[in-house]
Amino acid sequence: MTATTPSSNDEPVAAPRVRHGMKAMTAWKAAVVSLVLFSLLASGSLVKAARGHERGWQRDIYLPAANGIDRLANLLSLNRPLDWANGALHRDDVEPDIQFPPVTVPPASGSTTTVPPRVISATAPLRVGVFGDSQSKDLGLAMKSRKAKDPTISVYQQGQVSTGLARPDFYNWPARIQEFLADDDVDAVVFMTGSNDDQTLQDRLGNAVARIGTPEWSEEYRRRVAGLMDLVNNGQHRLVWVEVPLVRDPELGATAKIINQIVRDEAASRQWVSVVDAEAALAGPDGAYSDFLELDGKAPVRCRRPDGVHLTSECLEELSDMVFDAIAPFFANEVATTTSTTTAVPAIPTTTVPSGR
Amino acid sequence: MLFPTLTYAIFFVLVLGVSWKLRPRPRLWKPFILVVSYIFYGWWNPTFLLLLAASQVGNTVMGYGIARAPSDDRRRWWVRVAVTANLVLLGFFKYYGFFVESLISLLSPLHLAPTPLLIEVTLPVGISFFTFCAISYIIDLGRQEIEPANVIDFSLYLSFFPHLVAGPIVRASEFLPQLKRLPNPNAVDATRGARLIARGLIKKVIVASFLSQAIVDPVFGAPGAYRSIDIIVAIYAYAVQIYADFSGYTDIAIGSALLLGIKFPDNFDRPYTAATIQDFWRRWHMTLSRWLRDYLYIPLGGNRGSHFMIYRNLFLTMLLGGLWHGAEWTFVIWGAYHGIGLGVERWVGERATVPRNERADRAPKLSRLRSELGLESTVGEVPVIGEGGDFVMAEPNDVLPPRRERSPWVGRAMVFHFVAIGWVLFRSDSLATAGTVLWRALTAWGSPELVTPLILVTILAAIGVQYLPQRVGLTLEWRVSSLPPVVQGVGFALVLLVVDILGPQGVAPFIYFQF
Repeated sequence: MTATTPSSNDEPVAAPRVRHGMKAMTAWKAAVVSLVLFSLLASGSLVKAARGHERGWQRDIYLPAANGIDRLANLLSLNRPLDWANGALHRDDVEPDIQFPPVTVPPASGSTTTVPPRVISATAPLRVGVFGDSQSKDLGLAMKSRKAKDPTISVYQQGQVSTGLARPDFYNWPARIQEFLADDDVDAVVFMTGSNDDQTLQDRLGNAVARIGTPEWSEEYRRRVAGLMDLVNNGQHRLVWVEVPLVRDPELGATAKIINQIVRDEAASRQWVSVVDAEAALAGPDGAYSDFLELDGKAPVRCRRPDGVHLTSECLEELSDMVFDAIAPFFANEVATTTSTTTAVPAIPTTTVPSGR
Repeated sequence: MLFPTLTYAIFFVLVLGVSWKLRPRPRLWKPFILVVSYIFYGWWNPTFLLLLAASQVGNTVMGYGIARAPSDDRRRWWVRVAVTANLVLLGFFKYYGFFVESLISLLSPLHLAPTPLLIEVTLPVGISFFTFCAISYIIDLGRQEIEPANVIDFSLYLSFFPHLVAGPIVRASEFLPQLKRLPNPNAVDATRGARLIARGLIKKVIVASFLSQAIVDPVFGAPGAYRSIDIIVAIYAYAVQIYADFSGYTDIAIGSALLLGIKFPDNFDRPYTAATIQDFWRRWHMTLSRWLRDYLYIPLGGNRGSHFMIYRNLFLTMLLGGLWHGAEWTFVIWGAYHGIGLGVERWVGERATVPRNERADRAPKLSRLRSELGLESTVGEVPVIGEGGDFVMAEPNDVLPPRRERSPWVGRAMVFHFVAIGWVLFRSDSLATAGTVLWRALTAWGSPELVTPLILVTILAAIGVQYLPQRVGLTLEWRVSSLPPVVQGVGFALVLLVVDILGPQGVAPFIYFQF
């Protein structure tokens, strides 16, 4: 080692002490030691990061490499500190598992039992949980802001960025929603996702299930959508599924249309589900994607952020109002019920058949 | 490629080794660094490499035009053409949408909205930074302060990956000479480089991400839904978040460059210890502040001219500085807010330093006073934007009994709050949101929903650390630099592990990438 600048013993005492320099290749070797050691110590994080990576050549390199490093770290017990820390912080390496409930069939006329509507009031406000990807986070915040002064509605925003139904190995929405519904008492679930789902579908352990663009993909995605819808239907919750608004990227936009069609199909046979047609409502005059929209006949406003996916605050407000409009018919307002006891509230069907999908 | 990712770590370690192997052979080293810088930039969107290359080639050509101009007039003509070309490039990609949307809002009531002009223009990452670097090169050439660089050297200057996307805004006069001299391969300041990278990762991955998720994003996303205490703490939290985010990026950039043997200027110097707004701008994004000073404030007239002209120059500089940060009215108002703040501070400073019986309303005008005192300011004497009291000096004997000295802590508290309130404009997606945040911070009292002891401790710690004497960090560096390299490497790995454990899963892009 050499000093970066000449050091002198007769310097004043207060003068800063000079750092020792390092030979360039020694510095490089130290950097390699750091990287290798960190990889071993944090092998679990590497594997999770590699699993979370989009499919492609980078993931093809990262995942086997991370798995190999993890095996070596496990052999040497070098990953114990990270495991211990994750345990202490309640972080799971593997997403929780879930079994979808038996599939609900459309009720025959008069064959369902109905659950009486819950009357909402300032003392017993309507509790709305908003789940999904980053779009849902924005939506949840906009809804919360929109109803900030309304004591009859409470909005809980529970979105997670970069999530969807394609990658339960990264974030398993059905399992998370089931946990949330078990712990917290919400009346209505708002779910919005799909912008991250233009990729190969995987299972909870990261195994590929269906490649994007194949009939198998649509079939598996449909199973997941239907499963989540049925999961929410436990006789108490209503579900508002918000379609994926069109996006600028044509490939992602095509996938969004497929997802929205699946959602519409599955919701049609489930009376506890309402779909917010964000695809049409936030499209341009010709039904195609547009950065700018004329809302309520006013001057065009920017509706998408520069990424061509996320919505601006103006359009989030519009979408929030649509979601509240979709929720409203499910619940009776205290004022309404005192003036009219004939508020039409859709029945929640309870007829089920064993799962065949 | 984001700094706090494993991809960057692998990329950097590979580049570091090869770079030092090739460093003695500049003909190989320069193209190598250029190629890896292109890979770094193209990782986001390879399309914009063409734009970057066009800027590099175009500015090199115009640079030669300036250097070889046969007359001063011709040189000035080249400078004007080159600066205009750079501003057109920046203006189109960054401000086209802003101006068209503003025009539509303005003309809509008259049913004259030019809606066909509405097209989406994707903003290339880092365009504000590399365009400002290019403009500084052009103007310095025009001022004959530097020599023209060949296309490889200039391209390297513009696209050297550590500073390419979010600064620091390094000057050609700082960078180009480093290409000509070989750094000492036996005395790499590795400890400082590693410390800067570790510090940057802690700031970005732990502090900024935590505060962002815990309180800033929820409150600024739905300010109408939260109470005053949540909002006030969120305002403080954002002040810390933006500092941790941007200075964290800068730390990693400077540390990476240092390990490669290139020195960058500092970009932050404990900004929340500033006791005046002017001092804040000396400490915050220092390379932008000096760019604005040298290429905008001084050409506008600087401290020369009448009082009105000086305040106008100050205001315009900050207004345009605000616009540089983003094509939104919130940024413009933020810039104006700081311009007004600097102006008021300067005015108050002058009132406090000019003897009461010699104030402008009773005594000769300030210009005469300056002249009489022989303190005419010249361009070269202006040290920073808004330098107050640099030409109006009062003799102590002339002053009425001095006012009691204000504690510096009062100034620090006032400046911090002034800056933090300004950040509300910076963070809000619209002026309406900013208004809601500020209004509810004062009026919506009630039980907080989001504030936790951990949030408060993080905010206090992040601000408190800035008051630590600098020698603490320097002594730490010195002690660590005495350790064997392998021990330093192990220590750095442990820091990375802590960052990994305490940080969130996935890292959001840096705030300043959008600029």
